[in-house]
Amino acid sequence: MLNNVSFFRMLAGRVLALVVAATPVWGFDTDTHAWPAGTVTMQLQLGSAGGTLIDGKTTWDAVALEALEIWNANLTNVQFSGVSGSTASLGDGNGFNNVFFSANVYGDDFGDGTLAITLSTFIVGGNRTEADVIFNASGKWNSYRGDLQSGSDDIRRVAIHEFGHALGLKHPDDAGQSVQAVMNARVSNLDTLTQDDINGVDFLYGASAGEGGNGGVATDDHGNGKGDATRVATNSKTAGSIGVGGDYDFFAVTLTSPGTLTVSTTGTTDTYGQIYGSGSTAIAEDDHSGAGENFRITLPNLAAGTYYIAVSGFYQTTTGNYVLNMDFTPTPGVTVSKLINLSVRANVGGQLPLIVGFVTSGGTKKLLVRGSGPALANFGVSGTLADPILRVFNGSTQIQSNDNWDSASVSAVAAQVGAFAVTSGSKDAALSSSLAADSYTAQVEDATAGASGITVVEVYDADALSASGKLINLSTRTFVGSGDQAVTAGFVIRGDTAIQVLVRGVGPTLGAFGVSGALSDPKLEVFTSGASAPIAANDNWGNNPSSAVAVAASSAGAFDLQSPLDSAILLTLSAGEYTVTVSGVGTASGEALIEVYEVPQ
Amino acid sequence: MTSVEVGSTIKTRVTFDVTEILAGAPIAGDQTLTLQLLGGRVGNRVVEIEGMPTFKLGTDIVLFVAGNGKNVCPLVGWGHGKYLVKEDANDRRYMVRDNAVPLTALAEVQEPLEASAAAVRTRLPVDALSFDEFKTAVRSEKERILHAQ
Repeated sequence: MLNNVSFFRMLAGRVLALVVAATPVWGFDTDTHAWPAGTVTMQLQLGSAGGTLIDGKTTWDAVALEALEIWNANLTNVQFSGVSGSTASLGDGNGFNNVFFSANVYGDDFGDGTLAITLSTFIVGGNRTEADVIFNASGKWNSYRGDLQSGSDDIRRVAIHEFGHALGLKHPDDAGQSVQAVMNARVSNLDTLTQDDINGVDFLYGASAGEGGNGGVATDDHGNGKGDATRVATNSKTAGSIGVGGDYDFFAVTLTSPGTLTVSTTGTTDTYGQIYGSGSTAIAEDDHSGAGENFRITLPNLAAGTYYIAVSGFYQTTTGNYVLNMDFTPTPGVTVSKLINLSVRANVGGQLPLIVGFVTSGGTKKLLVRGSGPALANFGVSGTLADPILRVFNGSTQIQSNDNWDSASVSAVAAQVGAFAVTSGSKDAALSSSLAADSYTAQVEDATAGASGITVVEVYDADALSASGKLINLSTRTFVGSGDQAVTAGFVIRGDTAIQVLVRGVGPTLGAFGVSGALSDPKLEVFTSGASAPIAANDNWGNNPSSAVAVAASSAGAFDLQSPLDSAILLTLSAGEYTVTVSGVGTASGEALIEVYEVPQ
Repeated sequence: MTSVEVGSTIKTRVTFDVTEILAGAPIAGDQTLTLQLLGGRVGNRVVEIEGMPTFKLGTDIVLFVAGNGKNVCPLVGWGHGKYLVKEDANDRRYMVRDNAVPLTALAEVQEPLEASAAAVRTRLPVDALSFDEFKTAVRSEKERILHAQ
């Protein structure tokens, strides 16, 4: 938009001046969205000048072409192309960048003093897709250089200005900057680009970009919408920056239980905060209820679920750093859920034991660990391991072992945790012990070297549900194939809330780590106990480092997957019993890693 | 605030609680005013017009309205028609322009924004017109214009 009118002249007209309280929030997302690298074609439809203009040109399109070339001389990753005499259809949203005269802007009057308007279209989180430049047909247009001439509007400098908007430049004076620029909101004696204008396109399309650059979507420190929101944990602090005026930073937080959520910023930046649920309308927003000019929003009795926080500067002009504080207190009386049992069933064979890893956190944890073989026959399983031996390691140090389980030391704990009954005196293996928070492995093999058979390895949390420590990860590496060679793991969640669980079936990445014979293409299915249809399944996770799965993996401390063919699922689950099946796609078989993580919130 | 598709483009309708009228015809009905501005967001599609004023919840503003429902922007001179009421550390309410620069005299409203931007570092909130001073000045200007006609 460019205008040339004084305020007092307009105040003398039919003006309603009133004091209002803004009920809604603002209208537009004004993050900087650039054109993708390449050519931006402008459909020049201004027509004949009806004579010779002051600068000697005879068509408006020729003037517009010159304005485009002035920008092109200062652009690196994009270039304008002008189509003179274009007959492209006129309209917003039609994919054409129309440049034309009109008495109105798609039906609306320009208003007093407005010489031209650019309508820019972009997709949230994406590139600029269209820019229509409409010149006010009632303007007293000509084309000349030098100072403004009374009674004559210079279309060339206005075109330069509007094409700057088409590129994504804003009014520096609207942003509180005091610079000489053809991009300032009011037409002036400037008739070409200044260094500030050139710096603007360098920022958007040049190589030395800050939060923008290189002819693509502005890359800033946090997402610009729900789709690319930065995932944060409750009771966390996250640094952020409003790098350019109008920038919005989006964050996502998942509450696994009802409670009171307080979101605020700290710092010297004048921030504005909005919280969204699943809808597009903010459920809460605030300007400066926090310290200084920081926003602070408290939502009591908020239901469990995922919420999105948008942080922006209060003014379109505001820039600066901040720290986002995410404080959450669960509603009293709610028992936070946790994993209380992890198990794996697999075939042990050859000279190698079945190795199951598990991780505890939050304090000393009383556990029951079992390696069952003969007891499985009670469930109709044949070919079981005849005489399993269980060894528990912390690192490379064996800390405990058991061959034939001792009923006196284990029965009571097994009954307490609800483990299936094992016949007293059987050759199954079991241990009950309190372990410090750390990583452990349970190794099970037959007492007879080289003997094979099916075994189930189980790890139970034997503390009260309210205890601080918890099981947070189970993993096992074993041979996996299709059909009967699929490997099954299980986990149990208890408590009143939901938790996020990351389940992975890793094959190709093992190969990248040097494991020979790794499963080339695993697939993963998750079932509720007893159900025949999975509640979730995944073949190829896709290798998107910004996906929720990747973010959760990082949060849980899992290694990065190296191949899109690995499988992974992120689930929010309530209390219940769940089964995970990993198999090879088609006839694929090989070594695979099955992992279950509780994702920290 | 709602944004809707109108024809091939998008318009945004913003509703305000009107607390005081400084000039112009009273508002009938329930003392709310809905302004229509070109541009906005529907789904993931955004139509943006540079210079279009924006609004945020909970802010007190003085607006100069003309051509609502008819013009691309229903504020006089776009950002020239919008003045925010801010509050300083001593709870004094003062006026700032749409580019966040304190307004120290009514005559500054006709200055190009870049002119006031040049003074941004020298204009402090304590120098700004108070909310009451601004209202008085607007009413005086209205009277002056009426008598001049």
